[in-house]
Amino acid sequence: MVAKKYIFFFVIFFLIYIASSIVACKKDPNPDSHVNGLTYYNLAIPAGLPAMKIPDNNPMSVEGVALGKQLFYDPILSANNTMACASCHIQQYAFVDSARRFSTGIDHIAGTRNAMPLFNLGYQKKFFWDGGAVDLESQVIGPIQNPIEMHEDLGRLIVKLNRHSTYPALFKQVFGGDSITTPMLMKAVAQFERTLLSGNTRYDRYVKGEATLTAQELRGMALFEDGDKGDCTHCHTMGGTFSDFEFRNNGVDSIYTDAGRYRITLLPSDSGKFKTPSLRNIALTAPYMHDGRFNTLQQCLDHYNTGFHHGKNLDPVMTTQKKNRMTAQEMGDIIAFLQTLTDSSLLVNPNFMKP
Amino acid sequence: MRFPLSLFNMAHKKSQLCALSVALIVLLVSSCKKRPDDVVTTPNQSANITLSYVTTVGNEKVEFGKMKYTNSFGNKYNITLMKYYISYFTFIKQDNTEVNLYNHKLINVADSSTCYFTASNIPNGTYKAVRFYLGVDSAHNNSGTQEGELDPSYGMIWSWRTGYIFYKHEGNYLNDTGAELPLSYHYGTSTALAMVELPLSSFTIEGKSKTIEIKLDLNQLYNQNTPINFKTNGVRHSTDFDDQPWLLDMNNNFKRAFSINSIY
Repeated sequence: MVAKKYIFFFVIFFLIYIASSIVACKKDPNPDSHVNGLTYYNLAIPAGLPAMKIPDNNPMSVEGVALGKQLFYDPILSANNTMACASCHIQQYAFVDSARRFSTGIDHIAGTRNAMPLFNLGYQKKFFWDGGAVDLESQVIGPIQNPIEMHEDLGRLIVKLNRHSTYPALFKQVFGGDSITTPMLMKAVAQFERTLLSGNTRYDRYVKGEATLTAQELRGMALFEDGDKGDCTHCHTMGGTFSDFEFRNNGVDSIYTDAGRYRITLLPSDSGKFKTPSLRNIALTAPYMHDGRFNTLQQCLDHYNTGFHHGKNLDPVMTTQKKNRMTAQEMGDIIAFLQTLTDSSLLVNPNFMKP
Repeated sequence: MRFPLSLFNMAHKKSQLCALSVALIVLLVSSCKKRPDDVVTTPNQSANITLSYVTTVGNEKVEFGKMKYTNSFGNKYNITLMKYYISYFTFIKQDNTEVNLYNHKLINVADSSTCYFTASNIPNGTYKAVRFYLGVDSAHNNSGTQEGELDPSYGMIWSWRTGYIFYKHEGNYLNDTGAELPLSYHYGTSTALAMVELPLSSFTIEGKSKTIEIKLDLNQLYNQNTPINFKTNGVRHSTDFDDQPWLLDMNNNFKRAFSINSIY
């Protein structure tokens, strides 16, 4: 009996111990991510796009998105306070740098790759043309530090932000903590960038049965998917994001001046590979390819029809593809279809504008 | 889990479980205090061990700025900045069991307050070796938003990709004609992670704090094993086509460039 009593008390004691440790000791794995007192940001996904996974360690709040937007438009992020993210990612051009082939940084030095458009970013697996950043948060600090872009030192930037008249209070409201840290900066900008959604095109409305496509656009759509003609959908998946976001060598070169994905993985087989871009808003985001070498969609179609090089890492999908498989008319039809993927509401959405 | 959670809910609803709540709070405070040291032992069954990293050229501590060091190719060099990551420090007992810290530590050679860390409550016993990595393990090297020693603000991340520079030496060297050229070694990427295991001769922990001083000797790193030739390329950021052989040579050298300097 005595032993039983002890066991009973022990069990009770043990359960209380467990309960108390659950209540009190279960540390928030991300102390700066609690949404206490913040307004949940309801990300409205356009009909043409799939559901988006928001990372557990960076839940979106109205306040966090607003802070991210303010930072996105603030030149404080560059070393001499002259350039913001928005300097090269301009809303009226679908967040590319107008028609420039290469953007120039604060020291007036031009880069070597074409600025990528910013929309539907939450669907992408890796960032930059070569996938060097493993997530959207990490991407944020790339251009800030890049010597030919914003050329700022993160340590210095954090000091600037902490001395700013309004940022400390805004960051504290969103992330808590005593002072602004780099991870908070990364998270805030990423929260805003996830809101940049674009899925309201004539194609999307056609899919929903709310719009019609012309006969030429419909022919173009069929050719776009036809494996013996456009054969576009192997990489630019049909519908949704219009990209698989994989890294592929599309034969723009056979000798690589830019090693592309190799620079990240150091695998020789990744030489000359770049991320498949989305074809949404493609009519708005010229010039094309990682180095902006093509100014028109016609030049892109010509490349895939006749121009591509059989380099050693050419994507398997293209190695078996016949040259001259499309007529001028067929390429024109595909271009007509690509123009149905334009979402002009992205360019004027007030939620994305400078605060 | 249902029972304890319901207990909690009842207490939370301010029901009559006063005594229980008091017990709960007492337990909660006491249990939280015990958390930091997962190895629960009384003080005299374990000890705090300080790991101190001293960076030298031969037997002398690194002096910044002075063009006073010479590599095995006869080129003088200096150091204006030197930082490196040490991670996953492990104590290996005589019976091969291990005490793992799973930590990361950024050593900034210019700032002595960053050159050591303390391993709390290492159990008493005889240890035959310590092991650590020069660099950051691949899981942490490939994930984005990180805090503490891995905070991106310390100037040890790449600007074009996610990941850490494991070892950074910036300075200058004199080429064969005496011209001063930049020396900028940013060593990293997954190939670069170097495991270092250092034997200890009868190191025992008997409830008293101790310090193990570990030396990184740049003569061992640059001049021994496969000597590193600054003249081949003094500016290396680990990801160019011709950086692989350099990465492998540095990696091999790192494994031998550390030694136990003293224990006290």
